[in-house]
Amino acid sequence: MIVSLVSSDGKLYQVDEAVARRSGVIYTVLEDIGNQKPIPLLNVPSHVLKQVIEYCEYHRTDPLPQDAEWSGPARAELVRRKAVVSDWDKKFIDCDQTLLFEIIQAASYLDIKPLLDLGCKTVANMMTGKSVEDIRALFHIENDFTPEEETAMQVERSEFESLYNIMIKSMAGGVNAPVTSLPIPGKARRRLRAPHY
Amino acid sequence: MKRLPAELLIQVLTALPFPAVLRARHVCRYWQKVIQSSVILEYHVELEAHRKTDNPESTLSVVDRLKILRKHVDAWQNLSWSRRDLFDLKDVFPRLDALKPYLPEVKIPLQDWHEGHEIRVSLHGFPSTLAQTSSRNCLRDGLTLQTRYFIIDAEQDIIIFSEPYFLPTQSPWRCVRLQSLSTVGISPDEPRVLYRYLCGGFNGSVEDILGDFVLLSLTNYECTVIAIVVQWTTGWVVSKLEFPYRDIDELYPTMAFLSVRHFLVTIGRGSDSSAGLDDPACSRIAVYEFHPVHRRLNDEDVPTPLHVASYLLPDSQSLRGGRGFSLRSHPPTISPIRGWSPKPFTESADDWILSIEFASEILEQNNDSLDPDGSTPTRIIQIVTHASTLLRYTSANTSSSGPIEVSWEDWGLEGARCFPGHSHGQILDPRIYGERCAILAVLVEEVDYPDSSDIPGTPAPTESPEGIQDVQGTLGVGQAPAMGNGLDPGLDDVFSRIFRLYMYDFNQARVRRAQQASTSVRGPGWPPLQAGPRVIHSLEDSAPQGDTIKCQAVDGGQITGRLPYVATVIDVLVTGFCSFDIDEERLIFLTVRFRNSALSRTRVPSLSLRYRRQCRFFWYRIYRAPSLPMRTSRLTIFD
Repeated sequence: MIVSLVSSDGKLYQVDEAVARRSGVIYTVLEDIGNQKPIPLLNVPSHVLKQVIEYCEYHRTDPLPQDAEWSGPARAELVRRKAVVSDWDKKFIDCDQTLLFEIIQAASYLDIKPLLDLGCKTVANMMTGKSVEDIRALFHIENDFTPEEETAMQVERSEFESLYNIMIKSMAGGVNAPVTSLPIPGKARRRLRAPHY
Repeated sequence: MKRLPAELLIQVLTALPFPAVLRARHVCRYWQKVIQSSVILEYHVELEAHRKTDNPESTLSVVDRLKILRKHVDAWQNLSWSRRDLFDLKDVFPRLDALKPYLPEVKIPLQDWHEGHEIRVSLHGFPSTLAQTSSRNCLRDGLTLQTRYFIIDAEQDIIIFSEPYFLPTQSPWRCVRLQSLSTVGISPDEPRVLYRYLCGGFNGSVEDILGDFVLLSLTNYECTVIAIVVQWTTGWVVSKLEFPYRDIDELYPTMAFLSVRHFLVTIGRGSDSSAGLDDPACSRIAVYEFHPVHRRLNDEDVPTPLHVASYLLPDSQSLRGGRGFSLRSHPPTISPIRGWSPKPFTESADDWILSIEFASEILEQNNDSLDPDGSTPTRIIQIVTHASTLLRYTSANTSSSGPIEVSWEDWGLEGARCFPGHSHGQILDPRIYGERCAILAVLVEEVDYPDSSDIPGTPAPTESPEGIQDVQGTLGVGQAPAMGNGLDPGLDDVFSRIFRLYMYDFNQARVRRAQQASTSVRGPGWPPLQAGPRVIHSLEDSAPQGDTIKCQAVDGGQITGRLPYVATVIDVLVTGFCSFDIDEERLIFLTVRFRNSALSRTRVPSLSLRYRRQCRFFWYRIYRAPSLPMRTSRLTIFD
């Protein structure tokens, strides 16, 4: 079954339904109104949509992420910990910065969580270990702080980092110690029962 | 660089380790805004705190660890949740503009807005069935918007569409941490450290703690309201109140004015600038509720609580995945106690709408100390007000010897002067409410009820109704909290005076609305409301015209009553338990009377009075202990 997608600049793409369903949005649309007419994707230009479709084609057999697993702080942990990125993904995401951001936005818009995470992780990797100036240069961000603010922030940074190192040393588990899941207190658990009304 | 929308930037930053996030704060102003107003910092702080305090091997003491943490937190003293200040809305909601062409103009006058009012908007030809899909997706994609996700911009009377990303997200861990921290031995210095920790960036002296602070955490399962009461003289954490979500309606009698969704609690000194009072011995919890009525009360010249802290929390249903959120306030401007009801209540003030949420709470209660044997049919209405208010009245009326008229708005909720309590006598804890809260105990004559066998089908009793209005009140003997150390001598005068309470019919607007939509008036066959005199001096002034209403209690008990304008009296024959709905539109006061005086004297342990303010209908239930005999209860609704 073929699903027609229309990019923001009006180009029509026809993909397999299994591919299109990688996107949470399209999934919802297909569930709700069926596959009757082309689905307009207002926020996704054609060159980005092409990339996204390529990604979805490759990952068409992957399990769809469970919602619970991919939401909230746990998700951040997942993103941080999931070290393995396949070679194909690396190659796929290794693209022009502008395109990368566009892919991230499209993934967010289309609700493709693995792609969104891949993109975010890539950007995060680009930033890791870089100084503030490096980050600015990397993303071509203009420094819009005043020199006074800049100096104050430098002091704050150095103070913080020394403090942080002390703190890390004081923790046996280190930064990446697992966060144990928190039990629901007994009183609250009792409250979970259905309300009276 | 093409700007990433804030939501995506947050996603990127969430994948970064903690120090990198802090560094990223210094990249540019936009990033700074995003980080300081997002969940990331909270998340990391919680993460660090969690690891630290759960690690028994650590050589640092709790105090040390908290101190370190505090230094972190102090570094973020700019952390603020007034997101409206931080963001240009276009930055935050990049899709807002894009959405607008597809949106019919949604403007809802604030007074018509209420919880549960749902707006569904179809976009771009997508059918409205999409509204049934997961609300998260709906929002993300702008397909359907529901009011519970809306941010009501009260200043502009419009609705701003919110995306769930930008709810002030707060992990529920904070609550847990609170609990575990509180069990740790607390050194004299620690409360402040703890407090600052909880405040998440508070960096000031004890005096700055004034007027701070609430922590509200909502998760899917429960709402925990943790009010850290800081006695400003010592800086000690005095009390912690926690209420699970399901208990919110039970919470009302205790902190009756807390609204589940929109409120701000501030704790501070009892002060009344208009009377020149500034008493450091008194702490004051002021709860500002965000309600359309504020709009009506808004006088241009006087700052209103809405301006003091314009936080709006979405309802708890909008939170998914166990996320909660917190609301905290760095010392807001403490508005003068009389700040938001500057006008005296006059006949001409047509647009005043006060509702039960704002007016007051009157809990009726037997008073055993005044009536130990139950022979004298008296009742006590306890109205709690701030003593400084009364002081102002006495100082203004030093010459007169008669009763002093305390106008309605002075025993209202604002300024935290009303602390209705349970019917178990735990009304005022001076540690929490300060020592200046006074109780006006108003004696109310009790009517003689007919026998219970007469109840079903018969018209309600013809005795004069309860003379609640315009009764002379005396201050409750033995009810006022200890008024000991450090209070002005003037207060003695206060407590020796007699006050006269006036109750105004302030429900005109509701009456009007009900008249306009008389067909849609809810309630079991009740006739429409009629406008009445604005000031009602007694119930007899608006005596019932003989309308008899009947409705069925849940368990088959007959509910009969008359419907005068002012008071609707329903007699309920309680057999098992009964519960029925009361139209909120009609309700101002809810009093419960029991014919069985033995039951009353036991303070009705089996009575649970629940009402849900945010719902359209109040929900009322009378439990009856099996061992007790059948009795007649009377439910009185003053309308």
